[in-house]
Amino acid sequence: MLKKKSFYIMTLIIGIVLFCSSFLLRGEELKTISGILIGIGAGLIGMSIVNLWMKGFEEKNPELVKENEIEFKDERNVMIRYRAKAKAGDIIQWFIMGIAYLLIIIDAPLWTILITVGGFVLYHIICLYYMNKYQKEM
Amino acid sequence: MKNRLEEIRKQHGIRQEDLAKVLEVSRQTIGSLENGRYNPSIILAFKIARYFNMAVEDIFIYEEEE
Repeated sequence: MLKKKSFYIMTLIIGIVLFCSSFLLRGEELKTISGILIGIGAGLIGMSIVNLWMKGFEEKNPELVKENEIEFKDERNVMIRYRAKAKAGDIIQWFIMGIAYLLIIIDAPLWTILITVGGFVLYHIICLYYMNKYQKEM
Repeated sequence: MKNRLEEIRKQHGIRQEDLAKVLEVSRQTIGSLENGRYNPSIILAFKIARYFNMAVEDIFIYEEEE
């Protein structure tokens, strides 16, 4: 859900400050930091402008906002969304395992294989954690 | 689970869009319910029954699977 208008005004100001401060950093050794500041600043400015525009649109079209909210909270849509996410997660886990096998075949460095297998294991740990959590809740 | 939602809705002369608005669900949900493709949550079933001033079992018909 979208946050308050003041939040986006604040992120816009931070973005402008970061963007402008990047021009104060001169010298070869500060070039990387300056680049990072431009990137983050531009990102924040863009995000804030879009969200402020959305806020303005919401204020002018409360009917449409209500409709969108109903669509979002609709129990069938929620169920569809969760099922799609679960299915995507199932597919991704085997996709990650496939990448791990591929890395073994192409004789990739061990750390890349371990990270990939780690991702697969992490998926199952998170899965078990939430299954346990929901078992207690429901 | 079968239901008589379409029949009851038409008897009351209400459009899918309007029923959806009152129940705060999407029009597609009403359509899916009427087609029997989707079974509602207990809360939605009660909301529908209450809206039509009927009992849940008068609208939704539970048939035990063989």
